[in-house]
Parts: sequence; structure tokens; C-alpha cells
Amino acid sequence: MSKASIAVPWRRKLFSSDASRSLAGVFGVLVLLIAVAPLISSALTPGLLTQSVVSLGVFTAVVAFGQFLVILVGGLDLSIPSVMTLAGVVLTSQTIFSGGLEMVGVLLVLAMGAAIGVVNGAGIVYLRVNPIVMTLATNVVVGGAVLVYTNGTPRGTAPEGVMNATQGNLWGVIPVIAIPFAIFVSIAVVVMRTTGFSRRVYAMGSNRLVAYLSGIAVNRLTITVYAISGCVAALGGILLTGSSGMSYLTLGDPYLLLSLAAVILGGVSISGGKGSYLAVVGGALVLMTISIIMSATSWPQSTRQIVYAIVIIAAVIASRRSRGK
Amino acid sequence: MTQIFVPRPSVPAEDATPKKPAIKVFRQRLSNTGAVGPAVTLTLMAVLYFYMRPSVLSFDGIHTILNAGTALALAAAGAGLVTVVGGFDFSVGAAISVVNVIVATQVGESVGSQLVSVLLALLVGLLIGLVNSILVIRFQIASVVATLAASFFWGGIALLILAQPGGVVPPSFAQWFTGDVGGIVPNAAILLFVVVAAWLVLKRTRLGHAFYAVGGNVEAARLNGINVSGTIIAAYMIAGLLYGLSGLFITALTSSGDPNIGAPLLLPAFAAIAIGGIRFGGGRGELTGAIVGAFILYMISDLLYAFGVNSFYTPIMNGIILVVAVAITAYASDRRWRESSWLGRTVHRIHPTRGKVVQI
Repeated sequence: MSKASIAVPWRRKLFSSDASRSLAGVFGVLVLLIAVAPLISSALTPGLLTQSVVSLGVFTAVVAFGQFLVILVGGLDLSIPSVMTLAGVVLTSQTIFSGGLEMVGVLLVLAMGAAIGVVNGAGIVYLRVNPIVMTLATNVVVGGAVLVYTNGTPRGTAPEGVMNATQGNLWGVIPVIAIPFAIFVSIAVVVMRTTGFSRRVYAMGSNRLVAYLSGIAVNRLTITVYAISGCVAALGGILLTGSSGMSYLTLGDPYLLLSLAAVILGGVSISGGKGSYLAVVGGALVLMTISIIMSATSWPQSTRQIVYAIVIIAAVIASRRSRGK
Repeated sequence: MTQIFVPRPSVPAEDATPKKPAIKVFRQRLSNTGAVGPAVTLTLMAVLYFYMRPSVLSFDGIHTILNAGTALALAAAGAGLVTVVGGFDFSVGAAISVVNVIVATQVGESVGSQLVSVLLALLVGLLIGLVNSILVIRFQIASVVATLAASFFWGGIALLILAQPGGVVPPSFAQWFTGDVGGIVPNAAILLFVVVAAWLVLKRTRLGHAFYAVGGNVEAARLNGINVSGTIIAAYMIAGLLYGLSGLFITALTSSGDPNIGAPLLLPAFAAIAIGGIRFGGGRGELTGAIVGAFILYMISDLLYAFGVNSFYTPIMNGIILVVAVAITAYASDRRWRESSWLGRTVHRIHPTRGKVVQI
């Protein structure tokens, strides 16, 4: 097994017509949505809309990376909402993480997210609990822990440093949060295109047994994938807390369905092994665009929720159709 | 290498023995129902519970337990049936909420309007199940994604009908579910008895066998001439019917409407399914087990409450119970352990004689 013999099919897979078609499709829809938005509300100029889509879509895009990895290996992470909320309440409750010590707090919270992911992965691998059941249980346990920790009412504000990195606009045009967003997406895309880790993840996702027989430590890799998902969920929680300046108990709740929908809109196969992260980012931005356009209407929350659900289901069906499935 | 994937004989061993003593056959049948484990757990739990809280051991006490646990039991039975056919139903919470707000806003004092409300609730339940199954069958969406999106949709409908908690349910309606017959039999017990009896009959029909066949192996079921789509649609719709009943019961219990009342039932329902011995991934388990599991959960949470444990700890407890119950079920059977499927995907193993990877 020379290096080249592995590398070629992997490249072919990443730049296959399948992946680039999803990518073109999802960004095409995004451009189309931004173009027709002014017809719905005159306030939604392309510039303003792009600005808010980027600054609000970043959270979905970041946590969807974890969901993407987990779905690639044939699982599902339902613990994302609680991990995000936990990250938020821990970050705001500790006043010692300020004045230069923000980085310590951020790292601590990221480590907590990763630890929850390790618990998920270990339960799935060693206790043989179904991923859906395991992460559902973790979600509720962590949610309960958040309640116990905050006693029902989260306090405090986000650390100064985190707020500085996520709020406001550069030169009044580019949202500041676009910088961590761009860094995150670049790192994620490079990792998913060039490293042995990504090759092993794709291999394990398309056939776990063959991956095992090829010498991949499938158990350890599964745990790593869930740990990364927990870690980026915590990162999403940190960014969201910084951006809103505070934490609240329902902070992470919308992001389970959003992350799942973004991954599926990005053309990732729910049974694993196929998909590209850049298309997932596109999916997240499309979802956020629809949400922003709807918030410009005068519909009540209930109607928006119904329309949103229909749009998600329709988009899932459409993305399947376009792949000829 | 093959040592890791130990080959198994394809013919079950018990077929080889021509005749077995009646008691063995009976024991086999009993263990095949999968109800033994949960029943034993329930008995132990009940002994512990009544020992800790002897004051509950009265008609009123037992009536209270039945009233408090029945809504969850019905929800768990519904979601359990979907689990048996190999799916996941996350719409249980939203379905109960929709039924709750519809009944709370529609029901009146007259018997006629109350009957209409009950019928409406059951129809809505069936509709929710039908929509789920169409998404899963016709559009081939993974059941988790389909039911999660559907629950978002129905949650919106519930908010549309009743934006804030409110609505009043007349006591005469509540009595239908939470009352009793002649001070002897709680109505909740009758309802549960009817559901269990219906399930035990259904299980022995063609459809009942089809549930297990589809849950065990879709492809094998199809090749055996089973109408897979029809079976799955039936499972989701019966589940919806049970959510309708659960929603009716919870409405009678709380006597008001709340668009978010169902959401907290999701995890306990899955925990009850796990305690009840229904395998996630499909093909094994009993709805009766899920009902028993719901009451075990209720007793645990009530004991925690009696000991003054903060109610914030209840979800933590439920989550841990869920994982432990699933892990024990997986551990109990080595064969099932090895074949446990991931997200319903085909499990591969090495063929015993041909020595190569085959799909099973």
C-alpha cells in the first residue's frame, strides 16, 4: 500500500462531480436568495443581508462542522444544544476569566466540550449504545447540569475579550466575527482536504469494517470525532455568548435542527462517508438567509416556525433529488 | 483475523431438538416476549417504593401513580412501536403538545363536544403519524431528521393554536381519564388495560409479525413478501394514535393547554423504551415493556422528590438510567452486541465458510 495508491481515490472523492455539484447548488441558492430578498423587504439590501447572514450564520456553520464529522462516520450528535448552553453559562458566570485571562476561560470551556464528546464516543464504542440514544442522554444530562450549576438563572456577562472578538464591524462594513469564522472554516477545510485524519474519517464512514481491517483504530477515531464535535459545539456556544453579550438557558436549543439541516443541505449523505464541509457552510448560510428574510416579514413566531420546518423538509427532499437518489 | 468475528450457525440451536418439556416451552415463550426483565424490575422497584413510602400503598396513592405515569406510558408505547420497526420518532413531544392545545381550546361542557374533542385528538395523532411515515417512506428521509423537522412543524402549529399557556378543560371531561369506576378501578388502569390488550392481540396478527420482521431486517422482510411501506406507515400511525391518547390524558390531568407541554416527555419516553427492553435499531421488544418502564421512571423520580432532591437532578437521573439500561440490554446478549447496527446501517461480518465479508 504505497502512499500514492491511497491518495488518488481520496482526491478524486473530494473533487468529484458529486461534491462540487452540491457546492455549486447550495451557493447558487444562496446568491439567488440574496438577490430576491429586496423584493420581499426593501430593507434587505444585498450588502446588509450578506453582513447579517455572515454574522448570524457563523454559529450554525461552526457547530455544523462537528455534526458533519459525526454524520460522516455514520453517527449523529444530539448533545450539541446542551454543550453550547453549558459553554455559555460557564463562560459568563466566572468573573475570573477577564482582563487577560479570557483565553484561559475559553480553553477551559473548549476542554469541557471535548470531554463531553469523549463521554459520548466512549459510550457508543465501549458500551455499544446507539449514537442517537447516547447523545440524546448526554444532552439531557448536560442540560440538567446547566440547571444545577446556574440554579435556573444564568448570570453575568461575556468576558470583554470574547465580546471584542465577536461584536461590531470592521471599518463599519465587515462584521468582526467574520474573522474567527474565516479562520475556522479555512482550518477545517484544510484539515478535511489534506490530513490523514480526514482520510481515515472518510474511510471509516464509508465502511467501518474495511477501515478496521486496514489498520485504522476505529474505536479511538470514533471517540476523537465525537470529542471534536463537542469541542466545536463549545466553540459555537462561546461565539454566540460573545456576540449576544450574555448567556441564557435556551442558548443552544435551535442549533440541533439547524446543524442537522445544514449538513443535509450541504449534500452530505446521512448514512456517512460522503460530503464536503464547504458545502455544509453554504447550507448553514442558506438556512440563516431564509431565517433573516422571514424575520423581515410581519409573521408571528408560530408561522415562521411552520414555514421554516416546511422549507427545511423541502430542501432536504430537493437536495436528495438533485443527487439522483 | 477471523477470530474477532466469530462465525455463528445460521440455524438457531433450539430448532434441532425435536421436543421440549412444556415448562421449558413456556419459559422460552415468556422470555421471548421480552417482558420478564422489565416486570421483575418493576416488582423490585415497587417493593422499594412502597417500603420507602408506605403512605402511598392505598387506593388513592396507587390512583395517583397511575394518573401521573399514564401519559408518559402511552407516549413511550407509541415511540416504542416506531423503535420496534427500526425508526426513531422525535415528534412525540410536539404531537402531544398539538393534541393538548386543540383539546384545551375546543372542549366544552356537553358530552357531544367532549366526544368530538376526543375523536379530533385521535385523528390529529393519526395525521401526525401519517405525515411522519410519508416523509420516511415516500421521500426516504432518515427517520430522525424527518421526525425532528416534523416536530418543529407541529410545535409551530401548537403555538399558532395557542400562543400562551391557557384554556380551560371542564372537570367533567377530566373525569373521563382521571376519575374512577365506582371508587374501585381507576379509569387510567382501564385505559392502560385496553391498550395492552389491543397490543397483545395486534402482536399475533399478520401486521404484528410484520413489525418485527421489518424492524429485524428490512430486506429479508421485503423478500418474504411483506409490505414494508404499509407496515412502517401502520407503525407510525398507531404511534400517532397513542400520542393522541397521551395528549388527551395529559390535558385531563393538567386541565389546561400549554403549547410546550410535550417537549419534556421526549427523553423520559426514550428512557422508558430502553428500560422496557426495546432494542434501538428495531426488531425486538414489547410495548408493554415501555409502559412498565414509564412507571419505573415515575417511581424513581417520585422517590427522588420525596427525599428532597432538587428537581433539576431528575433529567440527569433519567439520562443516566437511559444509557445504563441500553448498555445492559446490549451486554446481556453477546450476539445482539456484535450485530448491533449503527443508525440502521447494514452490519457486515465475515462469512463462516466462504471466509469473506458478507452483508447480513
